[in-house]
Amino acid sequence: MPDPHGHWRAVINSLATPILAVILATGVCSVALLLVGHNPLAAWQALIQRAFLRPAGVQEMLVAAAPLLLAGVAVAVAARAGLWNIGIDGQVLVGALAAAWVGTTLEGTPRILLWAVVLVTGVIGGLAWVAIPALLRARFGTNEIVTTIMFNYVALSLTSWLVKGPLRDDTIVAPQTAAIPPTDRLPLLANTRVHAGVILALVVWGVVTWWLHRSTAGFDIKATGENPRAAIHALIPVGLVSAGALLASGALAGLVGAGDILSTKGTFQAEWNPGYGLTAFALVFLARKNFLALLPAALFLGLLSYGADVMPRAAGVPSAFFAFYEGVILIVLAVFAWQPWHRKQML
Amino acid sequence: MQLWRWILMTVVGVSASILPGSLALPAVAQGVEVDRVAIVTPASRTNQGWDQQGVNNLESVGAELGITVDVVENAGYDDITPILNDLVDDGADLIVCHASGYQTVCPEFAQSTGVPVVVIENPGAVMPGLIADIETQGQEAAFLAGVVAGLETTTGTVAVVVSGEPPSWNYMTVGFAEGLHSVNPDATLIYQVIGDAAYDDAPNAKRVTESVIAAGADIVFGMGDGASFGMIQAINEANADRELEDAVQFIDVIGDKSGTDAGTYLLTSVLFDYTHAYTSLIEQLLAGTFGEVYTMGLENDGVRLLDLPESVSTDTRNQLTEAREGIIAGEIIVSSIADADGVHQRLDELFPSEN
Amino acid sequence: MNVEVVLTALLTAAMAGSIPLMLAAVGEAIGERAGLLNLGIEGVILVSGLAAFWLVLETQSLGLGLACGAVTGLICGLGFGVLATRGRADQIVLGLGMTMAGLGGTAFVFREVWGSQQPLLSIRSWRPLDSLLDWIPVIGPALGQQRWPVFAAWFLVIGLSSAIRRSKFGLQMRAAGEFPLGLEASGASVEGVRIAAAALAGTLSGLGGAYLTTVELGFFSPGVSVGTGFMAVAVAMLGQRNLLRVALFSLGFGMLTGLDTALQLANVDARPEFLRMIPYLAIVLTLVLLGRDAKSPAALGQVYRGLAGRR
Repeated sequence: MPDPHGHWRAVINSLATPILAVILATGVCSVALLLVGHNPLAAWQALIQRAFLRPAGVQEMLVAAAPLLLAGVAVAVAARAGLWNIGIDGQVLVGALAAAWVGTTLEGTPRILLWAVVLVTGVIGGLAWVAIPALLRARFGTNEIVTTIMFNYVALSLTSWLVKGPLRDDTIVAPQTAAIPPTDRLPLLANTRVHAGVILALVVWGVVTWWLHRSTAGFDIKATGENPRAAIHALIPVGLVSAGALLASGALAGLVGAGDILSTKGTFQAEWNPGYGLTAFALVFLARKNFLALLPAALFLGLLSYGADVMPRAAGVPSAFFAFYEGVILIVLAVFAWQPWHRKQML
Repeated sequence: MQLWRWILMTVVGVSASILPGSLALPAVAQGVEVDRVAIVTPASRTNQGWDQQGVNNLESVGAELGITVDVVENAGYDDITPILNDLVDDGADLIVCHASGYQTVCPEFAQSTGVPVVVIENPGAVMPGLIADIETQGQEAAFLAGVVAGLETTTGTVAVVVSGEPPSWNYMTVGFAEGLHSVNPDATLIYQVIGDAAYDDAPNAKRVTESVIAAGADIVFGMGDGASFGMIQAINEANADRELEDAVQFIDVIGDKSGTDAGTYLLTSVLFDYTHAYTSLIEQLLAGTFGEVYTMGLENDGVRLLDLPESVSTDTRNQLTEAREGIIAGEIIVSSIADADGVHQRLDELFPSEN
Repeated sequence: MNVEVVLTALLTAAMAGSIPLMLAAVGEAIGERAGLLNLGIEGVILVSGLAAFWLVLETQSLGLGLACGAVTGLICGLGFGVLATRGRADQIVLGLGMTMAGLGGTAFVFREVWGSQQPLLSIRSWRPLDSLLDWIPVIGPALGQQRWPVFAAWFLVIGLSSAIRRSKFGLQMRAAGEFPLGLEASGASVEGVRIAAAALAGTLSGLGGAYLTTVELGFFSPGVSVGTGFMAVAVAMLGQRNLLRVALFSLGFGMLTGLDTALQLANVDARPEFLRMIPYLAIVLTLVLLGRDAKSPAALGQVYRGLAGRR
């Protein structure tokens, strides 16, 4: 039965959950702040002030949001197929290392070409890293949660070994690859601190969103995720689709790594582990797995990431607080998946 | 509205809002005035070592010279540019980037914003007026620590336990080994690496230290940052079953843990003191001569041994003084080896394994 | 370096160091049997560890500290169980949230309360078999070095293992995990069984966390669990939810982790990073070898909606 307001009601309903979740989490965490002797209002005020009332803040938020958006897309693609790619961190590392290595080896090539090659290398790195868990799942049904987590740890050791050994820049004392010169990296936009990687993230998000919602493969993925049994009956190659979604997810994660190397880092350092994985999960669930909502969710988490950078000095709140905050949001969201105020009719 | 139109609108809208919403970066005047100095450290003061020394030393220099000091701890190894920008926006005239992992990002930051920075262990990055570098010749004081260890060990087995092989620690490992060798060439040296960058891996640090104690070591030279507490706990536990004269002792690096829970069995520490370094660099900035390498070493007291406990014999102290003077006079040369493979090689040369 | 010394050191470290993992993995295995997949163990370990550490610091009593850890774990486990069943929460998201909140929250509290101090505990607990079995090569001294909580943990696990295998509750847990519909049809409450399993699992993880900070390390620092919670999930899956097998795998994993130390002691020249990969690759390899047999319970991770209320 056509419901002219149904569309908007759905939008409002789906906005209510994340907003309520954030409010609830903020409340809980403010209590935590109070308990240890901080003034929560002053703390939040300092955050808003630094992030929004200074142009630098807005720019930094965007810069922080870009890799999170991409990582969120990576998680969301897998989640749409009903899979959990918890190996984002490892895929980011491998993609980044591969990208850094190729980028410095190809010094001297024209910039556009360099970027293309480096980014593709990152994609391949991430793809390679998720390939084995994907394969294991496809052939043996091995739980991808466990394998991807294990591969995170292997990635940590492997990249560390490589960057301290064969791929190390011997002219520098700290263990890292050679640096891609700042002039060869993604440029800053118009005198701001925002780099072109932000545009890249947006474009990739746009392309993936369109592809998932408009192509047959995208439809297959959604069908597999929602109801695998029905999908099998509909002659969708569920095994292939699942593996494909996982591979795409890893590829995107590798792109995140390459993007970071090409924009903010410029070099792969041995101690670097940005840990986008967990935050990406928070992002995806904040957006209720809706691809359009990934944008504001990414901005919000970019805000939190920037907060973790500046709040220790601005309000004396340790950066660990923001990890706590994100965790509480996730917990609240997990419970809110069941919406008591929204009764759906079961067919 | 169709999906693709939503997407296109969003992409265009966001891109368009970035551009007009932007402002030029504030032009930072490279002033000769220094009112505000900042320091960024990767971990927390809590580990009473690397991060604590940098922060405490800068704060005491700031108090001395009447300069405001901004401290950012726990910055980690992610991109610290937002933090650096934030410090500059609040008026920092000089930023100390207190980690070898910041060697690349800080010079780039200085070059793009014009704010002077101090990096460590990157002499190639110095630029007049913009980038200064602090080198730490830890190996010389570590040599002295090795001398102490060689003279104080009763079992003849000494262990070096590290939670990573960054260059600053590698220098000290080799220096220590050479000092040990100079007074006790028949000693057994056990070298253990806990992990790749296991600076906080206290559980493993404890297990590794327990192993080396089981293998007979009675002096442990530990470089661990946060992981050092694991090493110290292993020693504390082992000593609970031992007599005082057989106690295992710990030689720390960089910081001063004496007087804390962790200092019970502290023999000495290879102390890094940045006070003079920071004072000099600020003075150079004021005078316009900023942008060189400052070397902290035995001579300028940048690196020195923490005072020895009373239990240490006069003979040891005398030999120590001799060694110290020998190094300063240039008679004793301590090797400078920064990479891990070089360390392994040198250790094998000095203390060939029995297998 | 004497081979016997190296092996003894390896075994001693593995026996003591694998306890937190073993307890957490056994707990997770219990939970998984009942159909709950808890990725939040890392958070539980940290929270319980901090609570236990703080209590021992105040009271100097190890027993109280371990009990505190157990209770904290119980509460966390109950929370997870209730939210995952009655709250219909998505288990994966809930677990990851608990991990993040635990990691961030404990670091936050630790820094706020203790500032730049690093307090250390100096409780030395009793070694039951001290020197008694030294005549047995390698294993003897290794056992002799172990403190009483290690033996207690093993007794607990063995006891639980047989209790669960024989008791009605154990059967109910299994049903909750494999065929919840059948369990409900038999009259039991699926939610009740799952919540009880979660509480038990949480208690074990809490004990593991308390052991880590009070017995093994004697201090707390942010992130001190270094991934033990995630390893527990992997080991639980490896052990196919057979509690004894899980315990043995934990010990094995502990030995593999200590392998790089042992090899270094034995003067084998290999990069530590390389050696560090071995335990994790071993887990993946074992998972592959178990192959098609590595099946999870049919209802793992799914919310059970009940016979009646199909909303």
